[in-house]
Amino acid sequence: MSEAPRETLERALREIEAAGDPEAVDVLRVRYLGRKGLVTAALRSVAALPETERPAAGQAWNEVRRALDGAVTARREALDSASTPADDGFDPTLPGRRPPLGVPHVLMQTLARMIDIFRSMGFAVADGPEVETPHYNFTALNIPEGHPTREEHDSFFLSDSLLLRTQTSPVQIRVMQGSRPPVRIIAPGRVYRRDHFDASHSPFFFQLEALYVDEDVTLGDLKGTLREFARRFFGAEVNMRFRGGYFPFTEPSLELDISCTVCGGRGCPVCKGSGWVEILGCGMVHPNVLRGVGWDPEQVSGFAFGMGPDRMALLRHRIPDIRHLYENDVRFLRQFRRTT
Amino acid sequence: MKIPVSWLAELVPVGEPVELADRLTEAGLESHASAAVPVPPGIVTGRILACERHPDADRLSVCTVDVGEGAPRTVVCGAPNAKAGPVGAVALPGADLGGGLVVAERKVRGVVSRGMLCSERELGLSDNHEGILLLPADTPIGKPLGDVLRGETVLETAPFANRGDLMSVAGVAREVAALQGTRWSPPVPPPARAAAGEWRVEIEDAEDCPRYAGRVVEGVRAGVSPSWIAERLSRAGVRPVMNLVDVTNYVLLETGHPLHAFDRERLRGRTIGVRRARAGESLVTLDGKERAPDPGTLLITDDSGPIATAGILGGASTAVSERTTAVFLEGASFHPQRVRAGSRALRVSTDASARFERGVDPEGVDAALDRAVEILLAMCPGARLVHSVEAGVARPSPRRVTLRNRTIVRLLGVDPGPAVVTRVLESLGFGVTARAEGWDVTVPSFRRDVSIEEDLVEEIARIHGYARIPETSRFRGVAGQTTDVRAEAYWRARAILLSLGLTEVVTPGLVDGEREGALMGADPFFPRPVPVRNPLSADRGSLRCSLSTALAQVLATNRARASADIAVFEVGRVFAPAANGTVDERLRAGMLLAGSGLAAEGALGSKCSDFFDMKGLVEVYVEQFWGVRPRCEGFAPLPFSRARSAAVVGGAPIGYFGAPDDSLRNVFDLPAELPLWIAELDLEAAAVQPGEVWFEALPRYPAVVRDLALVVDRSRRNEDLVAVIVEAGGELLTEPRLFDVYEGAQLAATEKSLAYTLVFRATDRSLTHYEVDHLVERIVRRLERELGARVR
Repeated sequence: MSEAPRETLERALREIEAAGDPEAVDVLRVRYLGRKGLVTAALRSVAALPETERPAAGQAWNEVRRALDGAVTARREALDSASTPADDGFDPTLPGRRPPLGVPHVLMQTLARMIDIFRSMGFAVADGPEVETPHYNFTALNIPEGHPTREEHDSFFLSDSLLLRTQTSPVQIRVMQGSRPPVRIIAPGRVYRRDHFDASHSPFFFQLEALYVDEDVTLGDLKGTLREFARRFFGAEVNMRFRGGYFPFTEPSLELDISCTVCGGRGCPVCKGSGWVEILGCGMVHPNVLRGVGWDPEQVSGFAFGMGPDRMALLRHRIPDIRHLYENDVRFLRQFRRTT
Repeated sequence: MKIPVSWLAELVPVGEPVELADRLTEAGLESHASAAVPVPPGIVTGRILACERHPDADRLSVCTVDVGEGAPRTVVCGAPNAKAGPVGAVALPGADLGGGLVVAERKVRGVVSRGMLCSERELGLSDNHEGILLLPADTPIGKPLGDVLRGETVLETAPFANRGDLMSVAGVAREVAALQGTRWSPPVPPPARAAAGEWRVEIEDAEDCPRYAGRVVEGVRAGVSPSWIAERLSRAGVRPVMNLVDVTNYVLLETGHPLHAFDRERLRGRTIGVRRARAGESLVTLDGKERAPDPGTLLITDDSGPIATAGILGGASTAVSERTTAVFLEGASFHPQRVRAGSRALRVSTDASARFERGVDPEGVDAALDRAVEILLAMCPGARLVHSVEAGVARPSPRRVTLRNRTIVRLLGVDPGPAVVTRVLESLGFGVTARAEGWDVTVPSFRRDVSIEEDLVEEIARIHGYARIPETSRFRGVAGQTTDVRAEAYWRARAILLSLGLTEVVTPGLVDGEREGALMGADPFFPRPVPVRNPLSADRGSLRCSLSTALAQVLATNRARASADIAVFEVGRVFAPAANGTVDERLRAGMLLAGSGLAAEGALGSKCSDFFDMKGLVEVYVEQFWGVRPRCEGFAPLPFSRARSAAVVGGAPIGYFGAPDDSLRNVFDLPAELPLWIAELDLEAAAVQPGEVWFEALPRYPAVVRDLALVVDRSRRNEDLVAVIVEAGGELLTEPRLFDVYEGAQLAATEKSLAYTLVFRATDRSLTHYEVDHLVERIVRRLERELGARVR
């Protein structure tokens, strides 16, 4: 008797699974679970067993009954849902009417995400003109007369006194001029440089500038801030490397690399085999910049950094060519409809 | 710059090149260690035992080459530099040099050649094909060439613009020593000084050229360089030419000082001048091109006029040649901006100009010349220094900077301690004297980039290691600013347009100004585009003045590629010329609907968008953004079509929407039958500011609803009917809603029918049917009287 419950169960399950219509399932239900069914009879016969065997046998047959009960219900439901009342001609497999979904440009998604992170860290959002004066774009940023970027070769000029900003850094100056420390801002926006289009260059692109000036802001704070940003933007597993850099408006100046998002640092074409990709330039605000807006570099210090949302978008979504961002092929744009 | 690691190792101990490259990179000298180019198999080193003229060919030689096989091989060679003594690279029969060239044993004019002596180009090492590769005489023979060259890793470095001192092997050696905390040994040549004799140097402007020095060496013999020089130059990416030129290039790479060798016999007079070019002057440079330098370009002259462009390119008339027996070696420090200006004007960039543009240390000029003379004398037995001449300041007084420990801690957030500060600065060549709470630091002349305390803090941080600075983020308090109003408007407008189901585009800010300008009319809302003075190309020559054209371009792109059924928007700036030559930046929202662009995705049958789809979008957007229901009235200016467009007004003019003018369709090659609707709205119009949203009590009494179908003349407009209905209906009429428009067989050709649902409601009671009947009757009478309407 000890093997009978299992064998009975297995056979019954096979038969239930093979049943092709609800009627067949019902026949099986009666055969096993009905008042005169096999399982019912077996349960009844448990009473006749010696007292020591009764609990085990009772439990075994009760489990068989529960299992078959479940199997019968499941099979019946499966058969019910498969059978379509075809007589009214309703076809539920026709396509759903999907409401049009607004899709943000992948570059703007990236920028929005960056702004969200910095806002949550207490940075306010600042803005400035795209048509700038050489004073704001160069002089106030400690870029001397005669520096290559001041030349027509590198920058777009409208006249001697107006040019398209080559960086979002002029917003630093405009913000500091109009306030007192502390300032903690980011300034996203478009910038322009006389670079010809190729896979990684465009004459117009976006930048996100950040500036924090207060008493005793340190390079350690800069590193900590960027670590937090990289962790939240790229994920906790990202590695960072600060290395020496050169910008006229910061001293010391650094560049930040992150471990390549495509190969994870093992080396691939995106990182040119180095395992690192550069994502931003940064540093401690140059004392000449602070003095220029009337702030005393003995009293306050600050950090600044500027990063490229275009590049961040390419890295994050593994887009091979920056030109995709400005061609606006709707098939490309709508690939990024699923927000992450 | 390419730096052979073996060269570097002569000056400073170096470990694993890849690790070294990483450390240099982190310290601010971007470096990459690359192994030598792989050499195809089947090429071995072989000593050229003998080299004789081919009996039947003047240009060929027959070499006897020992490749370590016991018996030497005979190899026929056509290279001019083949000679007995050095070790060459021998491709044995069977070696595949690529490009279909497989070496085989063959007869060359009657002599059997059992291999081939290869040039660097044939080996794929460089582009040099002027002669065969010659290795030092002590190179082991019979070894695969790849093994012999493998020891030769090259460090590729890319110094920043302010670090001219790193553009030399010696400069990098100093940096490496500082990073490793080891010593380094710069080459110390014996001073090469002699009487000036008749030689003089005249510098027009000391600022253009702070230092100029010359050495005259007689008894030199022109020829190929010793292999150790030729080889190092090749590995550093500089083509060996001849010994008199190679020596200057060698010293350039080693010390970072560009030198130039003039053929003394070809100089006119004994006075060397340094001055700016004058109008109408020209000279033929070493590359054989006649050049007319800008007046800003600095020239070197002799009695005959210009003989070289200073710091860029030498002149052909005074160039050294195989016949040269005496040279005038020039070393100098030219002003970076002069050289950059000249280099730009002449469109020439050389190893020399690249260094001068970053700044060449005036103090090192003499040592570099001394080094060149040292090598030259060693290369040419019998040569001797006969004159030396100089002008300008040899040792400008050094810059001194006071460094306070407080500044280090304030900027870095950590105190590296006096031992680190002293060690780092001294290892980089700074003079350091401790003083109260800091140091007095003397800046070496080659560090033109260091002038203030903060510069020294950077030196300490980058050499000590940025990785060692602990990460903190101590934000004190709230910064206190809010989001800029413009930025706020930008993000809010985007969010609304996205919620309307449009796809966002980001279009270029630079457009074809001529094309755009021709599409615009006289309306100031669509001004002429502002031109860029120095565009890259005419099709990106102006700042955009309208989003409408930008969106039309997006449509054209998509139509050409896949589908014209799109619904897109952009929020961005457009630019307009303003008073006194400035430029206004206006934040705009643009929308474009084309074909069935806004139809539900996957819906069966595609409904083409029409005027009222766009009108609806505009209305909802404006209500959301400004908090007012806009009026759409009149028509829009070019580039819109007058016939199917309207101005959007919400308290103030906000913008326009409608179909584009045919001129715009033509420019973007958009067919007339393609349904196309565009809107362009200002985000900063002085319209009603959206106020807070306040609760309104929900209606407590039921409404009475009546439908009213009217027949009017076709010229009557919905707006006019509604105005009369609202006025006649009074305050109990809450909303007239148009639910049907009919024209057709059941009406006269001049008539149309408009049907409205009228909802009446009072806030304080239930209305009676009697009251409502009375109101409807009043409405109908007014419509009959004023608009000639009748009830249908």
